[in-house]
Amino acid sequence: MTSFDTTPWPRTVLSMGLLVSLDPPALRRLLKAGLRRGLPPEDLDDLLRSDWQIEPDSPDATALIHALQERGWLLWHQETQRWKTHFG
Amino acid sequence: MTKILCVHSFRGGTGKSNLSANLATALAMTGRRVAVVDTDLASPGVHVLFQFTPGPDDATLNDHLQGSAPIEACCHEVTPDEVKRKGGHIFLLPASMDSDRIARLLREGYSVEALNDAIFEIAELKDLDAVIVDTHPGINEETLLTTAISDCLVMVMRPDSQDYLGTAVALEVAQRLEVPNARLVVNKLPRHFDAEQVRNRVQQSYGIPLGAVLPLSDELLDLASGGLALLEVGDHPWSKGVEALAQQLIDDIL
Ligand SMILES: Nc1ncnc2c1ncn2[C@@H]1O[C@H](COP(=O)(O)OP(=O)(O)OP(=O)(O)O)[C@@H](O)[C@H]1O
Ligand SMILES: [Mg+2]
Repeated sequence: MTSFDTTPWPRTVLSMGLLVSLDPPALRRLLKAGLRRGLPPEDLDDLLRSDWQIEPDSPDATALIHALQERGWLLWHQETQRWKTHFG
Repeated sequence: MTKILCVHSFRGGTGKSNLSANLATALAMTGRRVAVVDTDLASPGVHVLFQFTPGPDDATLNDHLQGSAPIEACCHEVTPDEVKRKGGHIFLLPASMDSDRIARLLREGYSVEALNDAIFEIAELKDLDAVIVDTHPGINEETLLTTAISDCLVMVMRPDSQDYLGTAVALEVAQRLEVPNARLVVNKLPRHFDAEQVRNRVQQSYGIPLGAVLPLSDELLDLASGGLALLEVGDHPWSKGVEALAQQLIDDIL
């Protein structure tokens, strides 16, 4: 049983208008953290622990990242080795 | 690390572009490297303060966001001599003033992700201390993005009832985006207004630090955005107020 429910998250492309309306606040924070220069994997791990209370390698973490990737909201950039928030 | 300062207001004509350009000047006068990005793509204007007119061969931000121009080609040094003498640099990323280009931008749009990447790319390429983002008024995709990525949001308002209400809305959004720092700037304070009263009202209304209260000024009206008040009328209370704000940002954010 995960501590969060991804089913209410819309399956549409991300815009800033959508980002600002999303809940819980930890979701907004995660997507915001993927802006700017992007999020190095170790920072994502820290965020998962501190903000979502989940261990980076846990099934919960996998489910969360999968939910974001599947919507195209958070993508892994091979070139910069960072997670980046993706719009459109 | 480059700091992003987003100069925003809910309503138009509050003085964002004048503040952006003069704040950049004040920061560069301390020897810093600063860029001003005109994200007001629908009604650009901050280039005028630097007396920079993008020529037919000058690339603008539009050429990067909707084309293939590298961001470096869209970045123009506009450092005035007085600032050069202090060792500072000001770079401008202007938006296109070509009506066809503006129409195309509105028609086709662009991804704000490209704007995010452009800001951080130029920050690195030019080794910037600060990027000042001059915005379109109100809430739209660009202003939400630039608010979200800012290290400090500088909210500009006039002591006007519509501005009081609108500023509350913009700050509510900033709060949802958990902007780490914000400063309020009251601009165009009429001479007969009690500055202390305005100060108190603003601080009580919003609970964020007041960056400056700047007077409505005949000198600024005369200058008509044709130059930088900081260099043209440096002793004027408006210029002194902007300098003090710059120092506050240096102490607290930069
Ligand atoms: N303190 C002031 N006293 C007098 N005039 C001012 C003052 N501040 C700005 N102005 C004038 O107000 C007008 C609008 O200023 P400016 O273009 O900087 O505002 P803005 O917020 O960028 O506007 P917009 O929302 O259209 O982008 C200009 O003509 C400018 O010269
Ligand atoms: Mg403007």
